[in-house]
Amino acid sequence: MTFDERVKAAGLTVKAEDMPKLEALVKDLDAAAALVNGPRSYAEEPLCALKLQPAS
Amino acid sequence: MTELHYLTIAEASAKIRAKSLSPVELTRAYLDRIATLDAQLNAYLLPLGEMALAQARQAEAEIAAGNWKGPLHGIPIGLKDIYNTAGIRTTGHSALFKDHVPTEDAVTVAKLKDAGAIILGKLSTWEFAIGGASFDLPWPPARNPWNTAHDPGGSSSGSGVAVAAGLAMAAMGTDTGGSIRGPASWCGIAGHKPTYGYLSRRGVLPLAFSLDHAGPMCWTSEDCALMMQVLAGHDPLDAGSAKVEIPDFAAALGGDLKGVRIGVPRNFVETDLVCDPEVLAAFNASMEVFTSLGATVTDITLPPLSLFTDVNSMITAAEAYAIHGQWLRKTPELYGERGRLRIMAGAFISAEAYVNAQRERTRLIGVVAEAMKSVDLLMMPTRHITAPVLGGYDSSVGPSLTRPFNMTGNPALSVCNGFSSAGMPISLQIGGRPFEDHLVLKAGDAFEKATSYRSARPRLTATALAAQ
Repeated sequence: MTFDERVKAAGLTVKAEDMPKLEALVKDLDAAAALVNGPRSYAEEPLCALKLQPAS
Repeated sequence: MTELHYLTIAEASAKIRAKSLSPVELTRAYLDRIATLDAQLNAYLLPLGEMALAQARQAEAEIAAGNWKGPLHGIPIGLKDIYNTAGIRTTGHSALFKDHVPTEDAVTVAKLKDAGAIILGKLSTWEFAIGGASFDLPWPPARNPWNTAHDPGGSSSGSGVAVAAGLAMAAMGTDTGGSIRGPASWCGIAGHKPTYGYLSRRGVLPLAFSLDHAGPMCWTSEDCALMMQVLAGHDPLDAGSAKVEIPDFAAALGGDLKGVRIGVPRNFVETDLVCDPEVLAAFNASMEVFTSLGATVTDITLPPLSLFTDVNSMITAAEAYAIHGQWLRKTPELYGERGRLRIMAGAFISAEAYVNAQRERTRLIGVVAEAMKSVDLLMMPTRHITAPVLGGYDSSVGPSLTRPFNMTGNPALSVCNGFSSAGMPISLQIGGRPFEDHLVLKAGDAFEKATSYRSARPRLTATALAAQ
Protein backbone atom coordinates (compact mmCIF):
# COMPACT_ATOMS: atom_id res chain seq x y z
CA MET A 1 0.00 0.00 0.00
CA THR A 2 1.45 3.42 -0.92
CA PHE A 3 1.58 6.12 1.70
CA ASP A 4 -1.14 8.07 -0.15
CA GLU A 5 -3.36 4.99 0.06
CA ARG A 6 -2.63 4.60 3.80
CA VAL A 7 -3.64 8.23 4.36
CA LYS A 8 -6.89 7.74 2.44
CA ALA A 9 -7.63 4.49 4.27
CA ALA A 10 -7.30 6.37 7.56
CA GLY A 11 -9.97 8.81 6.36
CA LEU A 12 -7.54 11.74 6.47
CA THR A 13 -7.19 14.65 4.07
CA VAL A 14 -3.64 15.97 3.91
CA LYS A 15 -2.36 18.90 1.86
CA ALA A 16 0.10 17.86 -0.85
CA GLU A 17 2.87 20.00 0.68
CA ASP A 18 2.35 18.32 4.08
CA MET A 19 2.58 14.76 2.76
CA PRO A 20 6.40 14.42 2.90
CA LYS A 21 6.46 15.77 6.49
CA LEU A 22 3.74 13.38 7.61
CA GLU A 23 5.41 10.51 5.81
CA ALA A 24 8.70 11.26 7.60
CA LEU A 25 6.95 11.25 11.00
CA VAL A 26 5.21 7.96 10.18
CA LYS A 27 8.49 6.45 8.99
CA ASP A 28 10.01 7.23 12.40
CA LEU A 29 7.05 5.60 14.16
CA ASP A 30 7.24 2.56 11.86
CA ALA A 31 10.91 2.18 12.80
CA ALA A 32 10.00 2.45 16.49
CA ALA A 33 7.28 -0.16 16.02
CA ALA A 34 9.79 -2.53 14.43
CA LEU A 35 11.85 -2.28 17.64
CA VAL A 36 9.02 -3.39 19.92
CA ASN A 37 7.31 -5.89 17.61
CA GLY A 38 10.10 -8.41 18.05
CA PRO A 39 9.71 -11.86 19.64
CA ARG A 40 8.12 -11.74 23.08
CA SER A 41 6.68 -14.26 25.49
CA TYR A 42 2.95 -14.62 24.94
CA ALA A 43 2.53 -14.12 28.69
CA GLU A 44 4.09 -10.63 28.75
CA GLU A 45 1.37 -8.22 29.91
CA PRO A 46 1.10 -4.62 28.70
CA LEU A 47 0.93 -1.73 31.17
CA CYS A 48 -2.84 -1.43 30.90
CA ALA A 49 -3.69 -4.75 32.59
CA LEU A 50 -6.94 -4.33 34.55
CA LYS A 51 -6.59 -3.79 38.29
CA LEU A 52 -9.85 -3.93 40.21
CA GLN A 53 -10.44 -3.11 43.87
CA PRO A 54 -12.98 -5.02 45.94
CA ALA A 55 -16.00 -2.98 47.00
CA SER A 56 -15.46 -1.85 50.59
CA MET B 1 15.02 44.81 48.21
CA THR B 2 13.49 42.27 45.81
CA GLU B 3 10.89 43.76 43.50
CA LEU B 4 7.39 42.41 44.18
CA HIS B 5 7.21 40.51 40.89
CA TYR B 6 10.43 38.66 41.68
CA LEU B 7 9.49 37.48 45.16
CA THR B 8 9.23 33.72 45.60
CA ILE B 9 6.07 32.16 47.00
CA ALA B 10 7.93 31.45 50.26
CA GLU B 11 8.98 35.10 50.58
CA ALA B 12 5.68 36.65 49.52
CA SER B 13 3.64 34.27 51.62
CA ALA B 14 5.53 35.17 54.79
CA LYS B 15 4.91 38.86 54.10
CA ILE B 16 1.23 38.30 53.28
CA ARG B 17 0.74 36.28 56.44
CA ALA B 18 2.43 39.03 58.47
CA LYS B 19 0.13 41.55 56.70
CA SER B 20 3.14 43.52 55.47
CA LEU B 21 2.26 42.72 51.83
CA SER B 22 -1.18 43.23 50.37
CA PRO B 23 -2.41 40.57 47.90
CA VAL B 24 -4.11 43.41 46.00
CA GLU B 25 -0.86 45.37 45.73
CA LEU B 26 0.97 42.21 44.66
CA THR B 27 -1.65 41.29 42.05
CA ARG B 28 -1.63 44.86 40.66
CA ALA B 29 2.17 44.68 40.33
CA TYR B 30 1.83 41.55 38.18
CA LEU B 31 -1.04 42.93 36.09
CA ASP B 32 0.92 46.14 35.42
CA ARG B 33 3.96 44.11 34.42
CA ILE B 34 1.88 41.90 32.12
CA ALA B 35 0.44 45.05 30.49
CA THR B 36 3.94 46.50 30.01
CA LEU B 37 5.93 43.48 28.86
CA ASP B 38 3.74 40.70 27.58
CA ALA B 39 3.14 42.14 24.11
CA GLN B 40 6.71 41.07 23.38
CA LEU B 41 6.77 37.82 25.36
CA ASN B 42 3.33 36.39 24.47
CA ALA B 43 3.11 34.40 27.69
CA TYR B 44 -0.61 35.10 28.16
CA LEU B 45 -3.43 34.13 25.83
CA LEU B 46 -5.97 35.63 28.21
CA PRO B 47 -5.06 37.83 31.20
CA LEU B 48 -7.90 37.88 33.74
CA GLY B 49 -7.23 41.23 35.43
CA GLU B 50 -10.66 42.00 36.87
CA MET B 51 -11.19 38.50 38.19
CA ALA B 52 -7.70 38.43 39.66
CA LEU B 53 -8.22 41.72 41.48
CA ALA B 54 -11.57 40.52 42.85
CA GLN B 55 -9.89 37.34 44.14
CA ALA B 56 -7.04 39.43 45.61
CA ARG B 57 -9.50 41.70 47.43
CA GLN B 58 -11.26 38.64 48.82
CA ALA B 59 -7.93 37.13 49.95
CA GLU B 60 -6.97 40.40 51.60
CA ALA B 61 -10.27 40.56 53.48
CA GLU B 62 -9.96 36.94 54.62
CA ILE B 63 -6.41 37.43 55.88
CA ALA B 64 -7.35 40.71 57.59
CA ALA B 65 -10.12 38.79 59.38
CA GLY B 66 -7.58 36.26 60.65
CA ASN B 67 -8.43 33.52 58.14
CA TRP B 68 -5.05 32.87 56.49
CA LYS B 69 -5.47 29.65 54.51
CA GLY B 70 -1.83 28.73 53.92
CA PRO B 71 1.19 29.53 51.75
CA LEU B 72 -0.74 30.04 48.50
CA HIS B 73 -3.25 32.51 49.98
CA GLY B 74 -2.97 35.70 47.93
CA ILE B 75 -0.30 34.27 45.56
CA PRO B 76 -0.77 35.22 41.86
CA ILE B 77 -0.39 32.30 39.47
CA GLY B 78 -1.04 31.52 35.80
CA LEU B 79 -2.57 28.46 34.16
CA LYS B 80 -1.47 26.75 30.97
CA ASP B 81 -4.46 27.09 28.67
CA ILE B 82 -5.30 23.41 28.76
CA TYR B 83 -6.53 23.65 32.38
CA ASN B 84 -10.30 23.97 32.33
CA THR B 85 -11.64 27.11 33.96
CA ALA B 86 -15.38 27.40 34.65
CA GLY B 87 -16.97 30.09 32.48
CA ILE B 88 -13.60 31.10 31.00
CA ARG B 89 -12.43 29.91 27.60
CA THR B 90 -9.87 27.10 27.57
CA THR B 91 -8.46 26.91 24.07
CA GLY B 92 -5.48 24.58 24.03
CA HIS B 93 -3.97 27.46 21.97
CA SER B 94 -5.99 26.09 19.04
CA ALA B 95 -8.57 27.49 16.63
CA LEU B 96 -10.44 24.19 17.15
CA PHE B 97 -11.17 25.10 20.78
CA LYS B 98 -11.18 28.90 20.51
CA ASP B 99 -14.77 29.08 21.75
CA HIS B 100 -14.50 26.21 24.26
CA VAL B 101 -15.85 27.43 27.60
CA PRO B 102 -15.85 24.69 30.26
CA THR B 103 -18.50 24.62 32.94
CA GLU B 104 -16.17 23.33 35.66
CA ASP B 105 -12.69 24.10 36.88
CA ALA B 106 -10.04 21.40 36.60
CA VAL B 107 -9.62 19.68 39.98
CA THR B 108 -6.18 21.26 40.41
CA VAL B 109 -7.55 24.71 39.58
CA ALA B 110 -10.29 24.27 42.17
CA LYS B 111 -7.66 23.23 44.73
CA LEU B 112 -5.58 26.33 43.98
CA LYS B 113 -8.64 28.58 44.31
CA ASP B 114 -9.66 26.89 47.56
CA ALA B 115 -6.15 27.57 48.86
CA GLY B 116 -6.67 31.26 48.12
CA ALA B 117 -4.42 31.54 45.04
CA ILE B 118 -5.11 34.37 42.59
CA ILE B 119 -5.61 33.31 38.96
CA LEU B 120 -3.85 35.89 36.76
CA GLY B 121 -4.82 34.34 33.43
CA LYS B 122 -4.45 31.60 30.86
CA LEU B 123 -1.03 30.93 29.40
CA SER B 124 0.34 30.08 26.00
CA THR B 125 1.07 26.45 25.09
CA TRP B 126 2.06 24.43 22.07
CA GLU B 127 -1.22 23.51 20.37
CA PHE B 128 -2.92 20.89 22.56
CA ALA B 129 0.47 20.46 24.28
CA ILE B 130 2.24 18.95 21.25
CA GLY B 131 4.08 20.02 18.12
CA GLY B 132 6.23 23.05 18.79
CA ALA B 133 6.31 26.84 18.63
CA SER B 134 3.91 27.70 15.81
CA PHE B 135 3.15 30.86 13.86
CA ASP B 136 -0.03 29.59 12.18
CA LEU B 137 -2.27 29.51 15.29
CA PRO B 138 -4.75 32.19 16.43
CA TRP B 139 -2.16 33.46 18.96
CA PRO B 140 1.60 33.90 18.54
CA PRO B 141 4.08 31.60 20.31
CA ALA B 142 5.65 32.64 23.61
CA ARG B 143 9.21 33.99 23.50
CA ASN B 144 12.14 33.29 25.79
CA PRO B 145 12.62 36.17 28.26
CA TRP B 146 16.41 35.64 28.33
CA ASN B 147 16.48 36.42 24.60
CA THR B 148 13.21 36.90 22.76
CA ALA B 149 14.66 35.55 19.52
CA HIS B 150 14.91 32.17 21.24
CA ASP B 151 12.49 29.35 21.98
CA PRO B 152 11.23 29.13 25.57
CA GLY B 153 10.59 25.40 25.16
CA GLY B 154 7.28 23.68 25.45
CA SER B 155 4.71 22.66 25.57
CA SER B 156 4.11 24.68 28.77
CA SER B 157 5.83 27.62 27.09
CA GLY B 158 3.78 30.48 28.54
CA SER B 159 4.14 28.98 32.03
CA GLY B 160 7.94 28.94 31.76
CA VAL B 161 8.08 32.44 30.33
CA ALA B 162 5.65 33.94 32.85
CA VAL B 163 7.55 32.61 35.87
CA ALA B 164 11.02 33.54 34.54
CA ALA B 165 9.91 37.01 33.48
CA GLY B 166 8.06 37.83 36.68
CA LEU B 167 4.66 37.80 34.98
CA ALA B 168 3.38 35.19 37.46
CA MET B 169 4.79 33.99 40.77
CA ALA B 170 4.06 30.40 39.76
CA ALA B 171 2.25 28.56 37.00
CA MET B 172 0.68 25.23 36.21
CA GLY B 173 2.13 23.15 33.42
CA THR B 174 1.58 19.67 32.06
CA ASP B 175 4.12 17.08 31.00
CA THR B 176 3.64 14.14 28.60
CA GLY B 177 7.20 13.90 27.32
CA GLY B 178 8.93 16.82 29.05
CA SER B 179 6.50 19.71 28.70
CA ILE B 180 7.06 21.03 32.23
CA ARG B 181 10.78 20.30 32.47
CA GLY B 182 11.69 21.46 28.94
CA PRO B 183 10.44 25.03 29.30
CA ALA B 184 11.62 25.10 32.90
CA SER B 185 15.09 24.26 31.57
CA TRP B 186 15.22 26.80 28.77
CA CYS B 187 13.63 29.54 30.89
CA GLY B 188 15.85 28.81 33.91
CA ILE B 189 13.14 28.01 36.47
CA ALA B 190 12.17 25.02 38.60
CA GLY B 191 9.59 22.69 37.05
CA HIS B 192 8.33 19.55 38.73
CA LYS B 193 6.71 16.59 37.01
CA PRO B 194 5.21 14.74 39.98
CA THR B 195 4.86 10.99 40.28
CA TYR B 196 2.09 9.79 37.93
CA GLY B 197 -1.11 9.72 39.95
CA TYR B 198 -0.11 12.23 42.64
CA LEU B 199 -2.07 15.09 41.01
CA SER B 200 -5.48 14.80 39.43
CA ARG B 201 -5.56 15.27 35.65
CA ARG B 202 -9.35 15.66 35.62
CA GLY B 203 -10.34 18.82 33.78
CA VAL B 204 -7.02 19.14 31.97
CA LEU B 205 -7.28 18.69 28.18
CA PRO B 206 -5.63 15.29 27.62
CA LEU B 207 -2.85 14.56 25.16
CA ALA B 208 -1.94 10.95 26.09
CA PHE B 209 -3.84 9.55 29.05
CA SER B 210 -1.17 7.14 30.26
CA LEU B 211 1.66 9.69 30.05
CA ASP B 212 0.03 13.03 31.01
CA HIS B 213 1.08 14.68 34.28
CA ALA B 214 -0.03 17.99 35.81
CA GLY B 215 2.56 19.88 37.83
CA PRO B 216 3.90 23.16 39.19
CA MET B 217 6.41 25.55 37.62
CA CYS B 218 8.03 28.06 39.97
CA TRP B 219 11.23 30.02 40.48
CA THR B 220 12.49 27.60 43.15
CA SER B 221 12.14 23.98 44.21
CA GLU B 222 10.89 25.22 47.58
CA ASP B 223 8.00 26.95 45.81
CA CYS B 224 7.25 23.74 43.89
CA ALA B 225 7.04 21.96 47.26
CA LEU B 226 4.57 24.57 48.54
CA MET B 227 2.46 24.11 45.41
CA MET B 228 2.61 20.32 45.70
CA GLN B 229 1.17 20.50 49.20
CA VAL B 230 -2.01 22.01 47.81
CA LEU B 231 -2.15 20.11 44.52
CA ALA B 232 -1.41 16.49 45.49
CA GLY B 233 -4.25 14.23 46.53
CA HIS B 234 -6.41 11.33 45.47
CA ASP B 235 -9.17 11.97 42.94
CA PRO B 236 -11.56 9.01 42.72
CA LEU B 237 -12.79 10.25 39.33
CA ASP B 238 -9.32 10.27 37.74
CA ALA B 239 -8.58 6.70 36.60
CA GLY B 240 -4.84 7.22 37.09
CA SER B 241 -5.06 8.82 40.52
CA ALA B 242 -3.11 7.17 43.32
CA LYS B 243 -4.53 6.69 46.80
CA VAL B 244 -1.45 7.37 48.89
CA GLU B 245 -0.60 9.38 51.96
CA ILE B 246 0.55 12.91 51.15
CA PRO B 247 3.78 13.89 52.90
CA ASP B 248 4.67 17.36 54.14
CA PHE B 249 6.73 18.40 51.11
CA ALA B 250 8.02 21.67 52.60
CA ALA B 251 8.98 20.03 55.91
CA ALA B 252 11.17 17.57 53.98
CA LEU B 253 13.35 20.42 52.69
CA GLY B 254 16.52 21.62 54.38
CA GLY B 255 19.53 19.92 55.86
CA ASP B 256 22.31 18.21 53.97
CA LEU B 257 22.18 15.25 51.61
CA LYS B 258 24.36 12.89 53.64
CA GLY B 259 23.71 9.29 52.65
CA VAL B 260 21.79 10.17 49.49
CA ARG B 261 23.00 8.02 46.59
CA ILE B 262 22.91 9.66 43.17
CA GLY B 263 23.08 7.59 39.99
CA VAL B 264 24.13 9.18 36.69
CA PRO B 265 23.05 7.17 33.62
CA ARG B 266 26.28 8.04 31.87
CA ASN B 267 25.20 6.34 28.64
CA PHE B 268 22.28 8.81 28.35
CA VAL B 269 24.50 11.89 28.41
CA GLU B 270 27.73 10.78 26.77
CA THR B 271 26.94 8.11 24.17
CA ASP B 272 23.18 7.96 23.49
CA LEU B 273 22.96 11.73 23.07
CA VAL B 274 25.61 14.31 22.31
CA CYS B 275 25.25 17.05 24.91
CA ASP B 276 26.38 20.59 24.23
CA PRO B 277 29.81 20.93 25.94
CA GLU B 278 28.57 23.79 28.14
CA VAL B 279 25.59 21.68 29.25
CA LEU B 280 27.81 18.71 30.06
CA ALA B 281 30.33 20.88 31.91
CA ALA B 282 27.56 22.45 34.01
CA PHE B 283 26.18 18.99 34.76
CA ASN B 284 29.53 17.60 35.87
CA ALA B 285 30.15 20.69 38.03
CA SER B 286 26.71 20.16 39.63
CA MET B 287 27.67 16.62 40.61
CA GLU B 288 30.59 18.12 42.56
CA VAL B 289 28.13 20.40 44.36
CA PHE B 290 26.05 17.38 45.35
CA THR B 291 29.17 15.59 46.57
CA SER B 292 30.01 18.63 48.71
CA LEU B 293 26.49 18.42 50.16
CA GLY B 294 27.17 14.88 51.37
CA ALA B 295 25.69 12.79 48.55
CA THR B 296 27.58 10.07 46.70
CA VAL B 297 27.60 10.07 42.91
CA THR B 298 27.94 6.86 40.88
CA ASP B 299 27.72 6.21 37.15
CA ILE B 300 25.13 3.64 36.11
CA THR B 301 23.91 2.28 32.79
CA LEU B 302 20.27 2.20 31.69
CA PRO B 303 18.76 0.88 28.45
CA PRO B 304 19.37 3.13 25.42
CA LEU B 305 17.74 6.54 25.66
CA SER B 306 16.36 6.16 22.12
CA LEU B 307 14.33 3.15 23.28
CA PHE B 308 12.58 5.20 26.00
CA THR B 309 12.01 8.00 23.48
CA ASP B 310 10.67 5.76 20.73
CA VAL B 311 8.24 3.95 23.00
CA ASN B 312 7.06 7.26 24.46
CA SER B 313 6.55 8.65 20.94
CA MET B 314 4.43 5.68 19.87
CA ILE B 315 2.22 5.77 22.95
CA THR B 316 1.82 9.55 22.74
CA ALA B 317 0.91 9.51 19.05
CA ALA B 318 -1.54 6.60 19.40
CA GLU B 319 -3.32 7.98 22.47
CA ALA B 320 -3.40 11.54 21.08
CA TYR B 321 -4.89 10.31 17.81
CA ALA B 322 -7.54 8.38 19.71
CA ILE B 323 -8.61 11.75 21.15
CA HIS B 324 -8.14 13.98 18.09
CA GLY B 325 -8.92 11.59 15.20
CA GLN B 326 -12.57 12.63 15.18
CA TRP B 327 -11.60 16.27 14.54
CA LEU B 328 -8.57 15.62 12.34
CA ARG B 329 -10.72 13.67 9.89
CA LYS B 330 -13.39 16.39 9.82
CA THR B 331 -11.68 19.77 10.28
CA PRO B 332 -7.89 19.38 9.94
CA GLU B 333 -7.65 23.00 8.85
CA LEU B 334 -8.49 24.10 12.40
CA TYR B 335 -5.11 22.81 13.61
CA GLY B 336 -1.72 24.38 13.02
CA GLU B 337 0.65 22.41 10.84
CA ARG B 338 2.96 21.13 13.58
CA GLY B 339 0.24 19.90 15.95
CA ARG B 340 -1.85 18.50 13.09
CA LEU B 341 0.93 16.39 11.60
CA ARG B 342 2.33 15.16 14.93
CA ILE B 343 -1.07 13.89 16.03
CA MET B 344 -2.10 12.59 12.58
CA ALA B 345 0.94 10.32 12.59
CA GLY B 346 -0.77 8.37 15.36
CA ALA B 347 -3.34 7.13 12.83
CA PHE B 348 -0.69 4.81 11.43
CA ILE B 349 0.29 2.98 14.59
CA SER B 350 -1.00 -0.57 14.54
CA ALA B 351 -2.74 -2.20 17.49
CA GLU B 352 0.21 -4.62 17.64
CA ALA B 353 2.71 -1.77 17.94
CA TYR B 354 0.69 0.08 20.60
CA VAL B 355 0.22 -2.97 22.80
CA ASN B 356 3.84 -4.00 22.37
CA ALA B 357 4.92 -0.44 23.25
CA GLN B 358 2.98 -0.79 26.51
CA ARG B 359 4.60 -4.20 27.09
CA GLU B 360 8.04 -2.69 26.48
CA ARG B 361 7.14 0.15 28.81
CA THR B 362 6.38 -2.35 31.57
CA ARG B 363 9.80 -3.90 31.03
CA LEU B 364 11.53 -0.49 31.15
CA ILE B 365 9.69 0.44 34.37
CA GLY B 366 11.09 -2.75 35.89
CA VAL B 367 14.64 -2.00 34.72
CA VAL B 368 14.55 1.53 36.20
CA ALA B 369 13.01 0.26 39.46
CA GLU B 370 15.80 -2.31 39.73
CA ALA B 371 18.46 0.36 39.10
CA MET B 372 16.89 2.54 41.77
CA LYS B 373 17.40 -0.14 44.40
CA SER B 374 21.06 0.92 44.54
CA VAL B 375 20.59 4.68 44.04
CA ASP B 376 18.05 7.10 45.52
CA LEU B 377 18.09 9.70 42.74
CA LEU B 378 18.90 9.78 39.03
CA MET B 379 20.53 12.90 37.63
CA MET B 380 21.21 14.14 34.11
CA PRO B 381 20.81 17.38 32.18
CA THR B 382 17.19 18.29 31.45
CA ARG B 383 17.89 19.30 27.85
CA HIS B 384 21.09 18.48 25.97
CA ILE B 385 21.17 21.94 24.39
CA THR B 386 20.25 25.46 25.47
CA ALA B 387 17.27 27.26 23.93
CA PRO B 388 17.61 27.42 20.13
CA VAL B 389 16.21 30.18 17.91
CA LEU B 390 12.40 30.27 18.00
CA GLY B 391 10.75 28.17 15.31
CA GLY B 392 13.70 25.94 14.49
CA TYR B 393 13.33 23.35 17.23
CA ASP B 394 11.54 20.10 16.43
CA SER B 395 10.70 18.12 19.56
CA SER B 396 9.96 15.00 17.50
CA VAL B 397 13.57 14.58 16.39
CA GLY B 398 16.18 12.65 18.39
CA PRO B 399 16.34 11.16 21.87
CA SER B 400 14.99 13.13 24.82
CA LEU B 401 16.29 13.12 28.40
CA THR B 402 12.88 13.93 29.84
CA ARG B 403 10.77 11.17 28.30
CA PRO B 404 12.07 8.27 30.39
CA PHE B 405 10.30 9.71 33.44
CA ASN B 406 6.96 9.96 31.61
CA MET B 407 7.36 6.35 30.59
CA THR B 408 8.00 5.16 34.14
CA GLY B 409 5.88 7.74 35.96
CA ASN B 410 8.76 8.50 38.37
CA PRO B 411 8.96 12.09 39.67
CA ALA B 412 11.43 14.44 37.96
CA LEU B 413 12.41 18.02 38.66
CA SER B 414 14.30 20.50 36.49
CA VAL B 415 16.45 23.09 38.25
CA CYS B 416 18.71 25.77 36.78
CA ASN B 417 22.39 24.82 37.07
CA GLY B 418 24.12 27.51 35.09
CA PHE B 419 24.17 29.78 32.08
CA SER B 420 25.80 29.40 28.68
CA SER B 421 28.35 31.86 27.37
CA ALA B 422 25.44 33.39 25.43
CA GLY B 423 23.58 33.96 28.70
CA MET B 424 20.95 31.26 28.21
CA PRO B 425 19.91 29.01 31.14
CA ILE B 426 21.18 25.45 31.51
CA SER B 427 19.37 22.93 33.72
CA LEU B 428 19.77 19.75 35.66
CA GLN B 429 17.14 17.02 35.97
CA ILE B 430 16.61 15.11 39.23
CA GLY B 431 14.55 11.93 39.12
CA GLY B 432 13.35 9.91 42.08
CA ARG B 433 11.47 6.76 43.00
CA PRO B 434 7.65 6.79 42.72
CA PHE B 435 6.09 8.95 45.47
CA GLU B 436 9.50 10.16 46.66
CA ASP B 437 8.88 13.61 45.22
CA HIS B 438 9.82 15.04 48.62
CA LEU B 439 13.40 13.73 48.22
CA VAL B 440 13.62 15.05 44.66
CA LEU B 441 12.47 18.50 45.82
CA LYS B 442 14.81 18.38 48.83
CA ALA B 443 17.77 17.73 46.50
CA GLY B 444 16.70 20.55 44.16
CA ASP B 445 16.26 22.95 47.07
CA ALA B 446 19.65 22.03 48.55
CA PHE B 447 21.33 22.60 45.18
CA GLU B 448 19.63 25.96 44.65
CA LYS B 449 20.63 27.12 48.13
CA ALA B 450 24.24 25.97 47.67
CA THR B 451 24.62 27.83 44.37
CA SER B 452 23.89 31.37 43.17
CA TYR B 453 21.81 30.65 40.05
CA ARG B 454 18.55 31.79 41.70
CA SER B 455 19.85 35.35 41.98
CA ALA B 456 20.03 35.90 38.19
CA ARG B 457 16.92 37.14 36.39
CA PRO B 458 16.41 38.13 32.76
CA ARG B 459 16.88 41.87 32.19
CA LEU B 460 13.46 43.02 31.10
CA THR B 461 12.12 46.45 30.37
CA ALA B 462 9.83 47.36 27.52
CA THR B 463 12.73 49.25 25.92
CA ALA B 464 15.23 46.42 26.36
CA LEU B 465 12.78 43.94 24.89
CA ALA B 466 12.07 46.17 21.90
CA ALA B 467 15.81 46.34 21.23
CA GLN B 468 16.24 42.52 21.16
